[in-house]
Amino acid sequence: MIRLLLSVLVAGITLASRPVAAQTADDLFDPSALHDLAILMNARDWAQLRATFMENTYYPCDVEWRGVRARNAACRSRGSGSRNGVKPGLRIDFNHYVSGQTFLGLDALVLDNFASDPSMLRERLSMTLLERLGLPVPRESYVRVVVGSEREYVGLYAAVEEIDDEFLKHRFSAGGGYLYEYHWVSEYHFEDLGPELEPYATLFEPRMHEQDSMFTLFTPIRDLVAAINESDSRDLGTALAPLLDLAPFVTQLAAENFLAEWDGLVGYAGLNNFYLYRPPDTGRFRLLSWDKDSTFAWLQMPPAHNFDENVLTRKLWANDLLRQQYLQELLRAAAAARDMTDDVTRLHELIGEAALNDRLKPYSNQEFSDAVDDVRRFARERAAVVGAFVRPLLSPADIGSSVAGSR
Amino acid sequence: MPYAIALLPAMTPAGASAQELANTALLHAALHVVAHAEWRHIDTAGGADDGVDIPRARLGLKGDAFRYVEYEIERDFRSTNSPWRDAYVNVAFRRALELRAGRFKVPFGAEELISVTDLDFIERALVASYLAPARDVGVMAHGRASGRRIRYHAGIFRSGGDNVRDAERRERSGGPLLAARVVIRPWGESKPGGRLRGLSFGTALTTGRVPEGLYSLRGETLSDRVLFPAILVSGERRRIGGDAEWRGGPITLYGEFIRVTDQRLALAVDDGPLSDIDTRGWHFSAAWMITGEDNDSRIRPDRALSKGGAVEIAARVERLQMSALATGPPIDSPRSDAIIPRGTYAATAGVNWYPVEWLKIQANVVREWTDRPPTAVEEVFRTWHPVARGQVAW
Repeated sequence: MIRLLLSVLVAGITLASRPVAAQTADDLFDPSALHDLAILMNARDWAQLRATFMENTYYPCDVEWRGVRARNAACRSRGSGSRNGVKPGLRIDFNHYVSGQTFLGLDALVLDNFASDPSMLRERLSMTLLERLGLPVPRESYVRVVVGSEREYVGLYAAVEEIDDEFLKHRFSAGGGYLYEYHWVSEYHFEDLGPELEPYATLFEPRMHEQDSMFTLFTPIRDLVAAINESDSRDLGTALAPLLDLAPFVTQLAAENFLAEWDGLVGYAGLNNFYLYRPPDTGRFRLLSWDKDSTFAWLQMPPAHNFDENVLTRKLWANDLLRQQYLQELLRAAAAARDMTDDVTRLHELIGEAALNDRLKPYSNQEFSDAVDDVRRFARERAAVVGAFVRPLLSPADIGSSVAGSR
Repeated sequence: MPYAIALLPAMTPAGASAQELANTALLHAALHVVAHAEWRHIDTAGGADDGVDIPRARLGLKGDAFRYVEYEIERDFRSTNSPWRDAYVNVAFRRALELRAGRFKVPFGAEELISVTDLDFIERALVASYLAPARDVGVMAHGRASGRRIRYHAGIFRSGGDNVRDAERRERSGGPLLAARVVIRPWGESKPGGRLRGLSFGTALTTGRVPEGLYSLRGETLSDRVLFPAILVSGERRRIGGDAEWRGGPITLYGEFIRVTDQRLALAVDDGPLSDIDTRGWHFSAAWMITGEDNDSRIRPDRALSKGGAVEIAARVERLQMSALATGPPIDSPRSDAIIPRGTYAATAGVNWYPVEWLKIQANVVREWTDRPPTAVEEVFRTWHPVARGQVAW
């Protein structure tokens, strides 16, 4: 009897003293869960951040998630069109005040406020589709965010992995290289901006090797744009092969247009919402998708919409081989989106209550529900719309192989 | 420098009567003048900074009326921040009780309370320049008791004094400042005290509220480099100071310490309090009139100008520092509990020449050792700088 009691006691102590499994960034970005994130920020700073939401001023904060607390982090308003003073989009920088500090291995964390996405689904569904097509995308999860010592619920956000050197290390074997964030300044469609480098420096902000010379940073971009403009559409693939990784670009373009992206590579106002990456091994640029909350814009949007305005897509469309590849990638996107309706249902169940309780979102609960219905309908019917566009342009053999390949 | 020196003869008094504007049984009024011309050389990270300046040109009126009422008004024509220096009326009911109202020095900081014309060094000690409140508008009771063994001051002032940051002075929502100071001369002026008659001890305190803002105390080195960054504070500001002085004929020994704590209520990221900001410092100095005059506040040369006037040598060591009363690692964040500690040591050696009573020529050489902040990339940490001043005052 004593042995039994001792055994139970030892087992109890062993279980009680078992270390809690360490949390990782993968846990934070677990897409199947609805997370809770606390931002401890002084009430005055939070008020000031909201009052001056167009500024990029950082404010000190602590961040807490599942009992893990990052102290001395910094938080600022973020976004371009989605900037909002009521429910601000946020960027949390973990090494702004403490050099080298990370949180779960992350230097920074983006909190998307869904200001441009009343369904709160577009961003996640879009990134999911891009990932299914083999494209590198940031990890994302839904988080209920509370702020301040009173832990006021400020709404449902998407926690988004920032595209930085850590992101590149995990997505590209070589890591390192040159990374640029594209900044929308005015309508731009890959037109040749001339021999000077300054116009490119305005559009492409270096995110790595920031201290390198203008020549090192921007000559490759100028050369890429020059090649796009100077090459004949018939030789586009050959001309761009040493400079641009065309195959993933075509896939990305197809995915964005399947998703009726209104503010992406061929958006309503030119290029937008992407990063440019030049890996050290190949030296061929990759375009990395970012901020997909303007997708699902228009169910009937032709998948070659705005192609004429962009120098690269115009020449791509005029190139028989590349056009065929693009059309096949559209079909592959349609095939990859076959579970999207189920995804809508599952995600709506995950976030529905949190979204309805989000009183700071810039749209009503009715508008939220209507937007979800629109997304659901898009998910159900978009493949047919795209298929109807593609099939007349592809030979039957091409259609068959493409669909078969996607299964 | 040459044009500054050229100004001095033009400013000299023609005679004692020229200072007096009125001198009757009921009213006495005298003109008061202070002018400083300075040259200094400061080593900087990029080279050296040489300059000649006239930092002070003050004109004032001082006197009494009806036996019991004293007054003083003074304006500095070189100051843009606080051109009006003193502007007060003092009523002496009796030796033990006088009342002063107007704008004058808050009774805190032994060196700060010494007139700039009577200092042994060109620059005030750092603790006096930055930790004492200096002047403000207020009302004060003061007097002497117990055969001049005890002197007291107690007053209430509109805000935090001239030495706080300009932004805090403009804010003026912090509320009044209470200040008190007691000086004890244990042996008074009694003969049995012997050499100890010149010994005195002082202590003082102030308390007041600081509005929320980047209003931590200012602090610079003697070479005018910013030492203390502006840090968020909110709540009570408390000062405590102590000093000891011994005057024995031509020799003066003198030391003082000041400590200021600023609360940081509701400033943490969780809206709780942060640890108080602790700003403190001390100085110790010695001065010797090598020509033998008593080292009083106003030196009167025993020897004629033709024989060299009076000469004094002086030396001072001092410390000024700021930190937070926290235990964690310092972070360069406005809401960090711990802050990066900053401070400086300085040593000053000087010679003062008094050709006549109203003229003083000073030369100082200053050596500073600034604490190296952990985040510093490039900074001047050790400097020499010589300073010279010509002073006309009567």
